[in-house]
Amino acid sequence: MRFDRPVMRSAAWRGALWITLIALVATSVALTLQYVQTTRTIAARREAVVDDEASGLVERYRTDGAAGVAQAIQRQLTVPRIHEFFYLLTLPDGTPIAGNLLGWPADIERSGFYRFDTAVTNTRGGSSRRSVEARAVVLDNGFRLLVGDFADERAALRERYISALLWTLLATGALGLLFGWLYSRRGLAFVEQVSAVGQRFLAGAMSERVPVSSRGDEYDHLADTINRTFAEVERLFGSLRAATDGMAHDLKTPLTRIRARLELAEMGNGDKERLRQAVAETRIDLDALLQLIEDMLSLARVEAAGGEAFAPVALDAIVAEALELYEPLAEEKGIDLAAQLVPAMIRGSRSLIGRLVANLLDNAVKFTPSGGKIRVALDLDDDWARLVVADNGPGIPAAHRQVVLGRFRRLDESRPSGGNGLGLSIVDAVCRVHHGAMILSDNHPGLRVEIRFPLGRIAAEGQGADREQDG
Amino acid sequence: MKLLLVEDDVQTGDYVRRGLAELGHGCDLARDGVEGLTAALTHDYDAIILDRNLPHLDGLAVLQALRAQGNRTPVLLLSALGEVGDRVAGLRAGGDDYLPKPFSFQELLARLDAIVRRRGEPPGATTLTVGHLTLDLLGRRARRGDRVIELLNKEFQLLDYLMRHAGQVVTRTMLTEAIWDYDFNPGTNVIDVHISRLRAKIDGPGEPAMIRTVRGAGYRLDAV
Repeated sequence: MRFDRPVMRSAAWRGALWITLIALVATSVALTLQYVQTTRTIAARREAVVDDEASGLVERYRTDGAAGVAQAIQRQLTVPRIHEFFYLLTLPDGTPIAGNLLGWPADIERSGFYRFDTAVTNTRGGSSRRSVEARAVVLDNGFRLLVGDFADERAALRERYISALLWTLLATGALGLLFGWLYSRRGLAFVEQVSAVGQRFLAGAMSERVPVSSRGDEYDHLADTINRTFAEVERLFGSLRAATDGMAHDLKTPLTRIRARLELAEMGNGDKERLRQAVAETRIDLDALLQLIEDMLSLARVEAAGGEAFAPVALDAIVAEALELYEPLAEEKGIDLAAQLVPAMIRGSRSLIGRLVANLLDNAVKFTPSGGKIRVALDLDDDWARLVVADNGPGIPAAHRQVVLGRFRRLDESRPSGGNGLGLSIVDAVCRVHHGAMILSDNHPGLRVEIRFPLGRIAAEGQGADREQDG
Repeated sequence: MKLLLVEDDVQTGDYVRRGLAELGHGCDLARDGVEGLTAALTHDYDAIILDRNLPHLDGLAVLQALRAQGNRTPVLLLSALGEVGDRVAGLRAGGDDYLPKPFSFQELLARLDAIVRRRGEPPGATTLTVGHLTLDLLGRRARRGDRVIELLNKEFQLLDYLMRHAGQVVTRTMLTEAIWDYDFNPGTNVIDVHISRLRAKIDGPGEPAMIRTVRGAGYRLDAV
């Protein structure tokens, strides 16, 4: 695995370091607290035991005097006991009378509880230096009594604490870094993968997708989002390519004709009539070219149109206007054009909807044979204004109905009826910007186009209208 | 006509100017908004052809400055944008007409002709007369000589427009804009059919044709 960026700089790695650090601090605090509490409990217990032993001896002193205490100490030292205390009874000047401590500690003057290191004789007669904790009591006649306990385990405890702390910190640190590294490696691997896929995508492999695991974690969500973005780009690119191919074809055909015609005219050696004919025909081709470009721009404009400029418009009036425009043409072609309209107010652009209706009628008149009929109907239901334009022309086979919405798609390229195949694309685009729907169906025979415009609520709940349309 | 063309695109500018010169119109050419505004304010033109997108000073700003100075020279706006909103903005700023690119030279000529001559219209007239043809604007019917011609709504509007532009070429686009208020080409030959119906009523059998088709451009109503 190759990393383009240093591991140390990755966000995942930084996160792992922080977590490890926090774990280390927390572990230290916990261990230290436990240590302090343990030592305190032990110290408190020892103090209580020592005090108990000392108070027994003080009691003895009250009844039997110093000699009694010395006797008691002597007995305690000779009898082996589970819990070893040490004792020292001295004269007021510090001279030992009885006990296993070699001398009265110099810095102890008054009664109290002390902690110190001192030399102690053991039962075998030798002496050793040990850590002790002792109760010092100054008795009535100046005699001094020291009763203590060995506190060697305090040092052992500290040692154990320190080693435990070290090992725990080491383990926590190692584990934290290990998991942090693994985790950051997953992150980096993901980034690497996405980056590589993105590079290939940019290089033209548009079907490339980021693999999605079954974990369903944030990485997978991100991968999914990226994949959907890629898919949308691929779709747009595809439709753009289809549009460009279509446009290139539609531009090239008349341009080639124009060129051929000019060359022929040139060969005609100034034949006036031939030239005039060529110019007239060329003009028709050029007009068609201009129209094509204009329609392309219109389509782009419609697709870019937002709903900001929308206002309440009378759909029936727009349809009636368009009908008035096409009626003479239909009549001339011997087509029976009839309409049934009800008043319908929708929110939209008069200009765009006018274009939609005109395109539908233009299509219908164009493809309906002489003697055929076109029926236009506008009615309302609860949510929609429905405009239906039905003809009994050749219709569109069900398999092709989606295809015709693409730009420049004509079902029959050799069709002599003209037009650049953008008509239904524009209708579809106008429909979409109005949050409407377009349904193509069979009129048995012929084409039935149903356009649905949402009634009213677009402005109040733009998103809502979207959802409604989806559902 | 003496015209001012404000257009930053060299090729379009030269092509339009040569075309206009060919037809005997003098045409000054300005390459940017500032130059255009200066020329418009210091010379007396019959009409100004003004591109919307200009360097230094945008076409709409030029138009607004011109109108603010009290200059009423007819202005034809050209635009590659050609959107409905732009059209409205252009006309609102004081433009007399609006022509989206790409346009045909014939279309440009017809529109120029229309905005230049529009100034001479008598306001408040109740009838229009061209030769023997009279249009009653209140009764919405026409009379050719002694013959009374009943007109349908759109036929009346078409004739009204043609008569107001008598002797000028009127393009199909101008008609769809003026009568149907469409800012797009409704396609095929819809306008032609309307004209031929109107023509059938106006030019009776044996009468000389008043409504003529101008090849590649549109129609013209002549006094005969």
